[in-house]
Amino acid sequence: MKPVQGLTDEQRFPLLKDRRLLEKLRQDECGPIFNFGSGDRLDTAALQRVADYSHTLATKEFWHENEQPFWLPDYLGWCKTTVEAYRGRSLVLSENPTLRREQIAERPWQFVSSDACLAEMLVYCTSGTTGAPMDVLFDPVSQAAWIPQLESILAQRNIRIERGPDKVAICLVCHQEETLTYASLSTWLDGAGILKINLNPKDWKKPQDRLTYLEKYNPEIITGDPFTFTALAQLNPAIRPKAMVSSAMTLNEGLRQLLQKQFGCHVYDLYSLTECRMIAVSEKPGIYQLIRPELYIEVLHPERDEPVAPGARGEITVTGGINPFLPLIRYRTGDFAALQFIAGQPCLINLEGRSPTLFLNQNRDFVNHVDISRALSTFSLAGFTLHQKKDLSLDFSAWGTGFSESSLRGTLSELFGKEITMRVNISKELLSATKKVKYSSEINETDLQPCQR
Amino acid sequence: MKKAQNVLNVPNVSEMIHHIKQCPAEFLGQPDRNGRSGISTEALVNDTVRTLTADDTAPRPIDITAAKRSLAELSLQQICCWALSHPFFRQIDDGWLRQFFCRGLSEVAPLVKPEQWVKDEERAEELARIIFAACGHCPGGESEAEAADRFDSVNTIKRLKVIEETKAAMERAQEIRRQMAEKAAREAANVYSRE
Repeated sequence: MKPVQGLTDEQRFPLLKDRRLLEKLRQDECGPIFNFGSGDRLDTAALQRVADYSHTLATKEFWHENEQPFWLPDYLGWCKTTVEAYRGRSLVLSENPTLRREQIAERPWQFVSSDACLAEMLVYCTSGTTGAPMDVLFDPVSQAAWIPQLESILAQRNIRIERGPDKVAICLVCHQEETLTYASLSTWLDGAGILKINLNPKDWKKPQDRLTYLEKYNPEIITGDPFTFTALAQLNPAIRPKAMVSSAMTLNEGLRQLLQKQFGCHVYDLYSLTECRMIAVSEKPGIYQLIRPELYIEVLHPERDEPVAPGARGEITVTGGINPFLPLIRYRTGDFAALQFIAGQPCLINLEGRSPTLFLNQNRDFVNHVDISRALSTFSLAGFTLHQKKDLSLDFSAWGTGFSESSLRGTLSELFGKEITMRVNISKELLSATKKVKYSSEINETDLQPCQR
Repeated sequence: MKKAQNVLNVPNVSEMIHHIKQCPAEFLGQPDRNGRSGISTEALVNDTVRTLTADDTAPRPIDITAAKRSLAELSLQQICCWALSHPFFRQIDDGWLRQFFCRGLSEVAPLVKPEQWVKDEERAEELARIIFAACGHCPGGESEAEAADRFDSVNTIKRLKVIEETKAAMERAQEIRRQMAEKAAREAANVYSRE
């Protein structure tokens, strides 16, 4: 189900009476053609919970090597007594079965704690870049907690996000055929501006406005994915962010250095999932430091619910979090790494599974796989794989029923162009593999066209 | 379970509930599990055992392995130390204490907020009955069958099993599904980065 606008600005920002910055960002003559509205929806009680959480992050007391976190028995007891899906579970973590994405996707309501206030429930539908589309339930507090999580990362470098209604604090930049865009504010940051924009010229009155708008508001933090950051670097706005935060797929070290040099700021690579948001952050190749002491990470054997040997690679499995609408017990992420303690801090080493996959259309323009997932989500596919060869031809395999090959071909042609050769294979049998959506490509960064300025 | 002899003067449940609810604040403090701050549950339990075994000099009669237990269990152990200060427990055999502290509370403790054991009448009754069952005596004035039946009626672990099968959970699931489709939920909230 797609997102819809259903709120007034008073409901989006219950505590923010001064919304002049919001109006300015929306009405700026150089601004994008925003297509959505959004707020953080924090009331007094929720804001206090964000503040309490921020305080716990400041102390950052992680579990020690070969130990489990002190909060685990209480957390498992709470899950067992308040979450339908966890009834009858053991209070010993290792006796709990692991959980897969499909189990949550089938019945998200069974994972809601009875302590969660349903009036606060929010729904986010993932695009399905690593699996079938899924509704993830959460609340305003677990969502707004992203900012204190980022602040705890930035604090290690003495970088501080300014508060108050004079600046744009965070700008999420996208580079897609289509995405939701909006201007918003942050209650946690005392009314500072939040932007979500798309670099696609179709979203702007004039292509030049992309530069003018970004330069005018000069956001303190720029977030996005490596594709977007490549496009942003080519667009080359004269902005001076305090930090850039890349996520969704692994940031290549060359791009990190290019961005650091061009924009003169620290560039972080986040490992995060929609199901639990931020997990770990990297400032150097191959080492991701865990961010959240309330999110316990195990590294398990991919087939058996057992830990791998200490320091060995296995599937990253998550327990904990602060979302009462989706408390996790041994959730298998589908991503692989080794867990090592470096200077007492737990880190993920050699994180794999999120390498950027490049696709090009017949004009050799970049096609974001998010757009592919979004377009294919209208079909009832149990899973699919898409591979692009060096000659741009596509191999597409799909599993499921209730759709025709011609309609699938039509959808892919709209994205890639009618001249692209396509080999389509449709099967009714279900996949047994963990990941039911897989993208691969023989294209690399040197095949990309420069972004038009 | 044996019926207590008259000479023992076994307290009835009301008396034990009253005693439990008188628990001083000192027994309700945050347990210390890693030697930093708070109450040493280990020391408190061992003091209680020394008193009940009338062996004041015994070097640590029980190792409760505090580091491996939930905070809720340690808190409940502390409350039990208070409950066992009732004079009755000095009159009876002490062979049950080790099992009680090491295994008797692990399952139920995380299911109840610690303060509820001393604030809530029903939870205080449950705790009284847990202790009577553990030491092998029926509460004063109750037969074995009565004691078992009344324990069942306040037993959190059994109650939760019943709730698991009740309609309430299904109704809530339906309500969540209904709200998932509503506009207000689907507008969601600010997204700050890509996932």
